[in-house]
Amino acid sequence: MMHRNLAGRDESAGPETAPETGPPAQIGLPLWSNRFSRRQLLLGAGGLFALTAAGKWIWQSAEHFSQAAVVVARAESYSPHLVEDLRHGLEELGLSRAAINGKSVLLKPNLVEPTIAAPHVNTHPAFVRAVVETFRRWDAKEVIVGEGQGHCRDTSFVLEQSGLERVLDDDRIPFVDLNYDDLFAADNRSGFTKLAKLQLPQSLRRADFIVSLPKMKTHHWAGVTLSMKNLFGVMPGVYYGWPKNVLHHAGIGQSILDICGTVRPHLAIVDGIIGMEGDGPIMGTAKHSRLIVMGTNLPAVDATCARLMGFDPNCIDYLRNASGVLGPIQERHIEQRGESIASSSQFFKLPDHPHFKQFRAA
Amino acid sequence: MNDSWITEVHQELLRLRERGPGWGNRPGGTRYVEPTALSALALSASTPAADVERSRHAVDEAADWLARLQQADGGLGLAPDIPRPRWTTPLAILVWLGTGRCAESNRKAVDWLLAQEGTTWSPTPDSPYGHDTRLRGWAWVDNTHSWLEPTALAVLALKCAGKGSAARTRDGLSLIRDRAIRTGGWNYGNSAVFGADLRPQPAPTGLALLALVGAEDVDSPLVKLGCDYLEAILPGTHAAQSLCFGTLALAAWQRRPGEADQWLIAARQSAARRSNAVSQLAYLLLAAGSRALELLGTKS
Repeated sequence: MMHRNLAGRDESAGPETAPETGPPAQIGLPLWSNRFSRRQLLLGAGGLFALTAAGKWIWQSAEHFSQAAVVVARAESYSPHLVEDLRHGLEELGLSRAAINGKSVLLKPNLVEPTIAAPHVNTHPAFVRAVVETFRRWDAKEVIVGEGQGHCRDTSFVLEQSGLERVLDDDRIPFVDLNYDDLFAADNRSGFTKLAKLQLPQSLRRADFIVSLPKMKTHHWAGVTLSMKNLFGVMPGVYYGWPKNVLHHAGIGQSILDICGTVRPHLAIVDGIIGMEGDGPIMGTAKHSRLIVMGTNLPAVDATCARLMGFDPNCIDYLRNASGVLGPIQERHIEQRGESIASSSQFFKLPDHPHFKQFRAA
Repeated sequence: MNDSWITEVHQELLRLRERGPGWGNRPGGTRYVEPTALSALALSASTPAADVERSRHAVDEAADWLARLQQADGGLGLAPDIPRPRWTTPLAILVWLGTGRCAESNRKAVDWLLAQEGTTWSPTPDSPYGHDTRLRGWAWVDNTHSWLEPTALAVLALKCAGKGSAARTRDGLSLIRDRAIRTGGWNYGNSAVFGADLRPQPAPTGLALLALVGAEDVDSPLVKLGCDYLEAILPGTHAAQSLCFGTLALAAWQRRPGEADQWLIAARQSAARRSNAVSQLAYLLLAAGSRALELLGTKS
């Protein structure tokens, strides 16, 4: 079933083009395969069978030739042992002090809205603290936490209600409000939406190493919200609104891909110790799944999480479209380290409403 | 009220001003319309024990700077180099009305605001949304849906400008009523989705209640439930924006708690530490100001 989004139009309708406020900028990792986006391939084919076949071959080859490693780790609770668990996991990925030493690290947790009563809505403060500590032990020049939450303009209230404010104060962790940062215009490197430029916070450009720290949750529009969807929270509310309605106009799935393809974070660490099932991302119920998932390729991380949650990544639009463009999502192209999916997978329930059937394989 | 505290925040806000008129979201950053308008309103809302002339001069300069940023059709963008979106325009109107300056700019901005509206559509039987998508309020960004805060800000500015009975103002009030959460209060503008009542938040609740002054009775369930929510949530928060709109709304509805001043004073220390200290301090100063409700057009 296709619902109209909150823009009142179908998701193919494009918003106005963002004006430039500065020179295009390079941020994050290089986009390893941005020559052949799905849109470009489809346009290029132009109805010619031969070109379509060629495009299909290239498309499949992009996924076929890509490989990524993802670590799945078990964690019973948000205990101080998390720092060691994280370090082991990151070392499994080949990361070490040498990769972080002297770098400015920006952590982007998921603090979508303020609530004390439902702590499973947001990335747990102890999880953020443990990641900060891990990078500090590896002699990062600085570790900054940044968020541009979509459902509440009062960032102090979100920090307070999420419990993160106390952690930031106690551990003297700098925080940047990405909704109100100074802006710069970046070229949209993926082109899934019609947005020519993305307005982004300057803090992204200043960071040497960007880490997405999402919560493992279901999502009533996107199916699942993980490290890629979490990047909606780098988009400044002052420019895109609360919620980020311009991105709804442009298409939620398409916007996820464009943001991910433009920001290109270096790492994702998913807080699945207590996740959310049901009517996510804010009204679902807590799911004590005891998992941490991490990797340097976000589609591979999210596809793995989707499998762990009982979803076929091919049924999640934005993951299917990320395949071959931003990274691999097929199990055979993801090198699984740590716990196996078979031994760790759990079934995240969805609401009993016809809309949600699209996210599960028949 | 501890007047020395108010004077100190006045001076702090003046220190945080960028060279020339206007304020940024953080010291040394770009000057933006929103923190400039908030600071001007905050400084106008009370009289400090010192630096009165300096404060007044800063407010006048801010009002004039906002007028220089006004675009030909009357709207204002985010900053000199960021002409869209233009949801900040109601804030400039409130500054111009509060200072009595820039009458022509104000007239153009009001006309522009009256002509704006968010997108609408007819709901389908299986619509997941709890609100009436046909109602016409104001959007954050052109050609997107209407949301609670830009609508409440527009209603406040229009009422302040003497347009309280305009059709567009009545449209905005209808939307605000419709977006109330069944259990009390408001959030960014989704009351329910897929049958689940969403959670209220204090700042949008405060703004909505301020916009409804004169349009609802004190006994109205919307007002009563909204104020009840604020009375329950505000004692536990130091968040400046929430305290500002929350305490002002309770004051407007004759329910300002006796402890409200203490909440504002307690919030000051954490506000000054934040990277967005300008807006944080401005919200607290506005909330403490004896002229605040008058500046927002909600003085009964």
